Amino acid sequence: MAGDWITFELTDRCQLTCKHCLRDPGKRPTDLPLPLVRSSLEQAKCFLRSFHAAFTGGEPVLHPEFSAILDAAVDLDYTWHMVTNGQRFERVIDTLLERPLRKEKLTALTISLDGADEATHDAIRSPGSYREVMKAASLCMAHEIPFAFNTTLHAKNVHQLESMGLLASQLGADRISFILFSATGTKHDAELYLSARQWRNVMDRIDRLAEALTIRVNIPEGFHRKQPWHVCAPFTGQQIHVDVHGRVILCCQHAGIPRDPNDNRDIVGSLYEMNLAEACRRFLGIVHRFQEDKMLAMERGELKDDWDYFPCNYCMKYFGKPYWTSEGAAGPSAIRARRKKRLPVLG
Amino acid sequence: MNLPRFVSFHDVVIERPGESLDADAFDALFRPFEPQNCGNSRADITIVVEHRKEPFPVPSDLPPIFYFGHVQAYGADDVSVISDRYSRLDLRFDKKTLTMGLCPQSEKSLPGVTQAMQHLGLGLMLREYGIFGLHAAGICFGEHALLLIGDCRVGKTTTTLALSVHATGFLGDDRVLFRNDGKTTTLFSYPREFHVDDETAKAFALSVDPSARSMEGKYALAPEHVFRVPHQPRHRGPITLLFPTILGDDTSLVVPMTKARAYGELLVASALTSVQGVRHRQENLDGLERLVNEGRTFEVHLGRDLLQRPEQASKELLRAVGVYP
Ligand code: SF4
Ligand code: SF4
Repeated sequence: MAGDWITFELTDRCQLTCKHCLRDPGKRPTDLPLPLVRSSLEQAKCFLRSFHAAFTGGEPVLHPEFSAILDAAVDLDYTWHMVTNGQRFERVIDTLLERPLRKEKLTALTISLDGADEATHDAIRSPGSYREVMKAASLCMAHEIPFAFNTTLHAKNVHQLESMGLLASQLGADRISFILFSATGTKHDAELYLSARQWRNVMDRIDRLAEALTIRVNIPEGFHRKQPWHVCAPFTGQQIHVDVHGRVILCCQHAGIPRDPNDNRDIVGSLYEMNLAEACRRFLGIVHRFQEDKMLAMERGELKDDWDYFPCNYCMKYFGKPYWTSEGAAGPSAIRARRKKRLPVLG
Repeated sequence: MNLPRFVSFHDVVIERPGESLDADAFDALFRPFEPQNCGNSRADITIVVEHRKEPFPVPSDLPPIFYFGHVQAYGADDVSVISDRYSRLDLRFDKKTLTMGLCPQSEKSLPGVTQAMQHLGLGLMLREYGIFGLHAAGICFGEHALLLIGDCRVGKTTTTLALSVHATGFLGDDRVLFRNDGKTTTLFSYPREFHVDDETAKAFALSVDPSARSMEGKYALAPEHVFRVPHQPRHRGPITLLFPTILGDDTSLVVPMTKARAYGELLVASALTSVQGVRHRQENLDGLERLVNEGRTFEVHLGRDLLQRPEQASKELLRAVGVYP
């Protein structure tokens, strides 16, 4: 278990209501407490020699103690990065400039960009958010802060794949990562669905784009593989993921998403109840069981569906989460209706 | 007016031994600069004026090098001539003299053309001292300078006026000079008259003389009457390059611009002085490239907010490019 990184889902607060979001915007906001973050960072440093912290959400900046959390990481000599929606980015810059060590230890800010133009991006995320993303990119350039884009691809923006790559490059981003949209268990799944075949075509386009652009073009876990056997980065133990409830879980894709209420096989354990070392031991057990079961399924010839060759989709199906089939989304639905109205946010 | 004979314009000593013109562009331009007492020693550039009722002849022995507005420039080795077919400026680079041969017909047919020729002539002469011109507005915010680059009608003046509310000094509204010593760029002011249209004058409550409306429908105003901040002769430090375009949306939008595109835009804005046949062309191009590489580059899509609520909108714009008011 390498344990290079520890990732925290700091809060599920967010100003936006993106269609592809895995969290339920109707829920009461939850924040990961600062003492738990600090203790986890200390433990990870001590026994795993972890050196990098990642912050996600919701929108991590909306955590009421965001600055103190950054300080907890940088004071322990962690480098860090975060995924942000780029809204009201001046506050991020202020936080970084307030204490130079925060900026020094930052490896990159990953900003979510879901369209190559205002209309496409805003239709997916929220009105006005595209302009905020452009401003965030400008602020990063102005303050010499490395930044990257994360783009979740689906039926509503896949036609702009190449333009988004070009835009990222023109804006001075270090990299663009294209994320395969996972089923959310909401009504939006139907309008955002792409078939397995369409996704293979998307992969081809990404490969060609990567050759054409000088910036890095990444595809994180989830895309089609020829071989059914694949060990993803979280399963190698490279990253430890702590969700907003203080539980170690498999990866960020398993956070906040609807689940079968009787199936808790993916929840490693709560850091309120056990130390990180014990959670890591349990994590290995879950991974091992999953891999054993998958090998057995392969042996029995059960991986027949095209979608079983998309490792994250198979993982979601195995752990009782929403997943894709050739007919669209299957598995549990969102427990609560997602509200379209914006929630009041802190800050 | 009693004008000094010698003036040090960015360390280039300029001598004007004779009379000045009726509406001499150099009177306003040189006013903020130190008069020099040079005795009999030679100035770096000497500007002389010659009046004639008859049009000055167009040079027949020099090849044309560029055409700008209503004037044609000709040139070879040590000589350049700028002509509007009536008046004519002769630049002798070996002797460092600028002779302005003026015919009243120029101003009758094209008001303001003489002044345009003066600026052009001085710009070509300053290149002999490693000083180049940019078609840009320049304002300073403490240790930062902002250059707004672009041709006419891209909203440069409006943006400059809106931003100047938060500025600490101004370099110029339409032209800024620069010198590059191989490592860093120094910006120099060019405090010529400011040109505003009706809408901008109204938005920024500037009093204009309706009878002084130019051919382009603009009014010339002394920069000290327009900027609420003092003239800043030079700037050495971080430079941010903004390339405005008018978008017409409610709010303005700032987007980072690649260096390659910014260099292209700078070339377009400097086309006149970087054409083949103009002296020191390569140095000019190298200087522009260094300026782009040194500075930060952004595209600004101007929205209506800059006219409707200039103070707040310009503050947001400055924050977006990392220059805090
Ligand atoms: S920015 Fe969008 S995807 Fe991210 S947490 Fe907010 S609503 Fe969800
Ligand atoms: S969803 Fe499963 S397979 Fe995909 S990265 Fe997460 S843990 Fe790995």
